[in-house]
Amino acid sequence: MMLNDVRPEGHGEEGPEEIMQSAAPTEAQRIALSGRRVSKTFRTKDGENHALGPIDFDIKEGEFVSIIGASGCGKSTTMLITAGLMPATSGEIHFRGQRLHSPLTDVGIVFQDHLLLDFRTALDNVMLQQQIRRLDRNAALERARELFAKLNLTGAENRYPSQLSGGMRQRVSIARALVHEPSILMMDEPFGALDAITRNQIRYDLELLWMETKKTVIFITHSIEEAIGLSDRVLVMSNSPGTIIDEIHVDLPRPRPVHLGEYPEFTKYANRVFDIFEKIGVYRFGRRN
Amino acid sequence: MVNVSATMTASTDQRSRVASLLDGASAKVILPILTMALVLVAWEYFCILLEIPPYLVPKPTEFLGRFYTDFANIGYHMWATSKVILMAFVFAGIIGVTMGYMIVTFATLERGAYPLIVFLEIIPKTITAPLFVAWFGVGLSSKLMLTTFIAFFPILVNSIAGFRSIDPRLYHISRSMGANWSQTFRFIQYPAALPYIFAGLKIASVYAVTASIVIEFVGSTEGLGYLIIEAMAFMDMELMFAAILATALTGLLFNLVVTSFERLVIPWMQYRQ
Repeated sequence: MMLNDVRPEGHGEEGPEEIMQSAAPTEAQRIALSGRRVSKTFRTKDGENHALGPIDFDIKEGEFVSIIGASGCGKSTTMLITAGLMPATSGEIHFRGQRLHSPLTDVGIVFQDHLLLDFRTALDNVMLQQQIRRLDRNAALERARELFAKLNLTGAENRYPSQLSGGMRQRVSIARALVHEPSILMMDEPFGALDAITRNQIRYDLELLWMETKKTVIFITHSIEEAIGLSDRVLVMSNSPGTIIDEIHVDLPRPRPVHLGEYPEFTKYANRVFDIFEKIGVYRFGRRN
Repeated sequence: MVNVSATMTASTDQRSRVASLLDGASAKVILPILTMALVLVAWEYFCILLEIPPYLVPKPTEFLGRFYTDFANIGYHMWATSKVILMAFVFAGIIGVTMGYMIVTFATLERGAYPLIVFLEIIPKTITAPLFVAWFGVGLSSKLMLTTFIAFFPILVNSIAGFRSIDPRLYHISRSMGANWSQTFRFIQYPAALPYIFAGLKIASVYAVTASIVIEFVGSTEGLGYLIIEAMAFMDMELMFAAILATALTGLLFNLVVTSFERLVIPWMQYRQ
């Protein structure tokens, strides 16, 4: 709270901030990532396209937050800006109270496509983190093997991506995003390219893994089931420009069952998202008798 | 009864032995050799049958014999040409891959240079051989220049395709790892582009042989191209055919070197779909 109170007046980034860092109260430290008035405008040949914002958000340490919205609503843009990989047109991102100016490195990223290197085996793909970050090889190797076991990938270590199924590739991709033990995990529609059965299994495995590690997760999805099945909090985004129009705290026990549809609490949360989507025109359900 | 069945088994045994020889891995070696031998025998036979004079078309036995007896001379020229190809290959490889990387990395360079590259790519570059001789004189430097120039283009164009084949979102991941440019090049861009680079090297190996022979036609004192021109001057068809055979073997050898090098450098290729 103190951080937020002082920041607007004290524009000097260097002096007062350092003092505040050391004396920062635990309350303020609990916010891992925050966005303030973040917006993005793309310049195209047809003129300017105001794609995102302005949006404000705070994500707490250890919180699992989903961002849900229709295709092209700016969810992925939000993630890339938050990771420091894309400059925002206006606004700022703070990581643990400090303004982010370069790519966030205390993070693991998973995209819809596995984006594995086809010239490296599954294990070597994961170990890319170790090589680039110059981490201790043996410790990373041990951690990688542990992740392979937890993600049901044992036996796939020395296979090339082309020898693995789509679901396994995505699991390797998740292992790559976690092997360096980042505090933040960002996932952009990670199960979007998988079949329904694989998607359920991998979602269940991810939840168990998250419960063990309690990382801060930003999870981009267009699946209501995934968002509510996994998250502590769901941010619902509207279309062009993408803004956060609702925030749903999901208060369901964990681990949550895969067949969520049978639970009345789930239906309540899901209906709320459906209602918002219908209100903003994402869904157009006619009246049926 | 016993006798009959015994002969029957024997004949099926033989047939299956022939069949197993004709499919499977050995067929890849045996069938082409058989075909080639057949062509050579037919060639020899027609030369005798139609009484073709040896100053027009020599018999295979004649020029193959010449290849054997004159091998010291042919081998000397073969080495002279190979030396040029080898050096040009190294130069073209280094320049081609470096330029390919620069062009993909710097958008301005791409916009400026790409139309020129496309233009130079489509014109037949061997026609510039006399120009290179005029500029760099008869000898190693002009041969090296033209061969490098010609081998360079397929390597450049394929390197560009290779560096471009990388999904840009992969750079999001590498940047989030904190990778600097040299790490990105070493761990991602270079290995990802390698299969494309080798495709370019294979095309270049064919072009390089042609280029070196053509410039030896125009102005040279050694090399297989020089030997072919010399053979023509003396109407020595046996030597001419032996020299052409040597050229073909040189090309084959270079292709083999590139292919085996590829297997060595990119072992993951065999797992690609």
